[in-house]
Amino acid sequence: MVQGKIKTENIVAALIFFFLFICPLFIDSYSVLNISYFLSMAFLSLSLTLIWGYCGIFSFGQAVFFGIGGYFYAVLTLNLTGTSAITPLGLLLGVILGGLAAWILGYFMFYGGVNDVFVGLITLCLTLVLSTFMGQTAGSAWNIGQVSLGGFNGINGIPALELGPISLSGNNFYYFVLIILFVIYCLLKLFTHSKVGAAIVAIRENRERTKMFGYNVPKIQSLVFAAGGALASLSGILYATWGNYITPSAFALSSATIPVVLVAAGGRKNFTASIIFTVLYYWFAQGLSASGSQYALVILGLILILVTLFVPDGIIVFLFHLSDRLFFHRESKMKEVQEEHLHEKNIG
Amino acid sequence: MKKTSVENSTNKKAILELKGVGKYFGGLRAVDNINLSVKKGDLHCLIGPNGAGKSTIFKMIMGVYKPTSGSILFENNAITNKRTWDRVKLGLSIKMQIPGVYGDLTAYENMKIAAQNFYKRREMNNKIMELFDLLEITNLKSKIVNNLSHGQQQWLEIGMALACKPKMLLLDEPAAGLGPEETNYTSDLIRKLNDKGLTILFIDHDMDFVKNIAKSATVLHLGNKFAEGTVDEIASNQKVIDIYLGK
Amino acid sequence: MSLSSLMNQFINDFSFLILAAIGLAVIFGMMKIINLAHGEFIMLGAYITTLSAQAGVPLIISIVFGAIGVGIMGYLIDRLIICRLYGRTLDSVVVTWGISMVIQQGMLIIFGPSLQGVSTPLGSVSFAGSTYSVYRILLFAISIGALFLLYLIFMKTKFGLYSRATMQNQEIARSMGVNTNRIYSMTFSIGAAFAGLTGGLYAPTMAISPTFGTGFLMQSFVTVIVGGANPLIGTSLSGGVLGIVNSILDTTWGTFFGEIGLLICAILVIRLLPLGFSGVVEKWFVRKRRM
Repeated sequence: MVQGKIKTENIVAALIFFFLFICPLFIDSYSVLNISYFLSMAFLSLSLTLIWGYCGIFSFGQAVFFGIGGYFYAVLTLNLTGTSAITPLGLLLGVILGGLAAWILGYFMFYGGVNDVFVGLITLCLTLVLSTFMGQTAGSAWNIGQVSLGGFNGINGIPALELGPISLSGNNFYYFVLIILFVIYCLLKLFTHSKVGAAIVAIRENRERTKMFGYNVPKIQSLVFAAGGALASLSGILYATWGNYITPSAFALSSATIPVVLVAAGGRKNFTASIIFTVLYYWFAQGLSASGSQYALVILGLILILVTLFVPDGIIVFLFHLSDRLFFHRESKMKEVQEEHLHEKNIG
Repeated sequence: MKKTSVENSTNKKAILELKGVGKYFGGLRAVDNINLSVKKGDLHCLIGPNGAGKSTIFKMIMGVYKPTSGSILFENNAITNKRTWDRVKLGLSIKMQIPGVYGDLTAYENMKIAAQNFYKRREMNNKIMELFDLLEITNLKSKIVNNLSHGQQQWLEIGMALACKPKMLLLDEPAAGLGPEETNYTSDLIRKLNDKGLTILFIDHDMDFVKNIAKSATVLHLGNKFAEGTVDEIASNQKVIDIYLGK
Repeated sequence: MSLSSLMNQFINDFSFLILAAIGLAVIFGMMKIINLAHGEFIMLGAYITTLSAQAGVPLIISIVFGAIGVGIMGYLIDRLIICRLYGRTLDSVVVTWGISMVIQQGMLIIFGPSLQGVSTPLGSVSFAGSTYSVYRILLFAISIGALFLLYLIFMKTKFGLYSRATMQNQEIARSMGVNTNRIYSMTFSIGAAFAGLTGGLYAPTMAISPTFGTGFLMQSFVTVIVGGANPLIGTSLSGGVLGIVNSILDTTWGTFFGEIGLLICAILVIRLLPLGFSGVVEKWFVRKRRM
């Protein structure tokens, strides 16, 4: 838990961010655009790492907040095109709305004593219902202002973000996303070392016990869930401005579960790992779909099964620990724990 | 039922009072109409065979279960409807039966989780080190808790309970599963804490351990109060000896 | 909204909810595993049934093939993967999602985006001025039959006794010589077989594609949430109650509101009765016995 130690994770994170900051200098603009998409999706993984990895709230509902953010931004900005400063305002309000929606849902669940796998089930049902709902909004009955929700076709022509005179497209958009990602990543790292950061880990490890150390557990859970909702919503808005469209597939079952898969496979208790795995996945998936391969999902499913069976802490985290042991000769926590388990097995 | 609880609080010195507290699970009567009062500065033991309702009473005091009937007063304030974390902030703290420590974290991190709610950042470290010294486990502070022995985990949890600035400490079987030496150490520790003025209510079913440390005791049997008094009175009570021999 | 169309809708919804949920309920109730590949098990049942019916096997036997085939596959999946994750609820969620991805995409690769279906057999009858599909009425009867079969398996056989003992207390069951791992494998296999049966039964009524199972997912999860841990009591009660809610909403406002209604029921039940209907029933029985 000590901050700023030299270990693989920190070095890798520093190198990756350094590389991301300079890479537009020597790659073509199409790749830059692709990477901005990968980075936009990283916020969704960060949101799940925060609430699941750190706080133990297992949610399939991040897609809901992703979609809410995207649709809200689309409807607001398309209704008020031409108004100056509407796009940054839309971004800000969308993020707040995502957080608020998550807080309301969280309030009902956590204060009602709903936890563990039931949170997963409720959020899964919610995602399915919203995806059905959005799919049937094709008619003119579903216009909000001048914008039609558009059923399965979704909403097109969503305006890009504009910061004053600068339109955020191409490299500008890339740097905008990257800077936000860097800032949020650093904030999350700092947060995990804060008082509340320690409390959410305690809640993950033992909810009932943590109440008896004087923590208002449902309140903390609702707030963390809200923060996760805000991050997911941010991801949705960046996605909508990146491709200028959003469709109900944002709420589809696959969208709901992909973050779970990525975070579980990369390392659910580690922000760096989930960013890395997310970017790698989207890169890999895009490569495969570009080459027309149908095997992407099969491979991904197999990876998921194998990782859960053999490296339950996540593959990137496993590599971090391995390298820590090789290069920094440090007894990592994980190893100590594993040895203890071995020890217990030998006695038992 | 909730309002009338304050009226006849005859015992001004009592820090904790249970008035007619009962708990039913479905049709199962776990605790039946218990009256209990613990004086400030007392070292009181709840004793009784398995299934007597001891742990259920602790859970009602901490707000894990809501009593089916009756009321609970802490320092003459009704806390029956208060939530667990609010009770902790009023000064109730507990060490649970199954060690309630965070196994994947270090001992220091465990203490920090307990202490940070009650101490400012600057005082916190000193307080934690003070508690480690008191418990004589300073050398364990950076160990992962899963790697500690059962006894060490028990003491750490007592330390964590103390880090919540308690006015009253509840200990659920503090000596369960400990060897003779560890048990002696634990009894010394509990006495030491009580000598410093901390009110302690603890559960045990080992008569020798209870005789060794408790000032007074309440015997529970099948959810009812069976006997109450000083430890000597209890230990020589024939009916108590009978239920312990299983008659 | 006429009473007969409501009745018709209720028959449809009840059998759909029961059949969608029964396999999931067995696995969840007995093993505490949330099987996210449930929809894919149903889809596999539909594929096996459709393919064998096209090969000339009578439909009813094809459906049995579907159930048995998926049951065997469930057994293999349990031995290979799930058995390593007993007691790790969240990990089993992740792993079954992985399984579902592999099965769904695998079927897409092997059989393409859709399969020629078989037509719904048995035609329809007129009764009291409205027409009912005979096959739908048969499904209603089968759903009740499936509940009865579940009752027989878990209440009347030695396996059922052992599995209930394992569910109550694994340690004690094991110390009395019950091979709990085998019980779990069998349970998973039976749950999978029920899912396969459902797929086979609905194969003649819906379009066959690799996403066939997705249409069952929401209903099955809601029924299990509302029903609680006991697969028999829970599923039948929640199927009945949700069937009424769903059919009223379906006939008055349409399918979408039917789904919303189910979701709201699930959220209310989790809030008010976290153990579901079967939790309430069991509590009531315990109280009665004590008095």
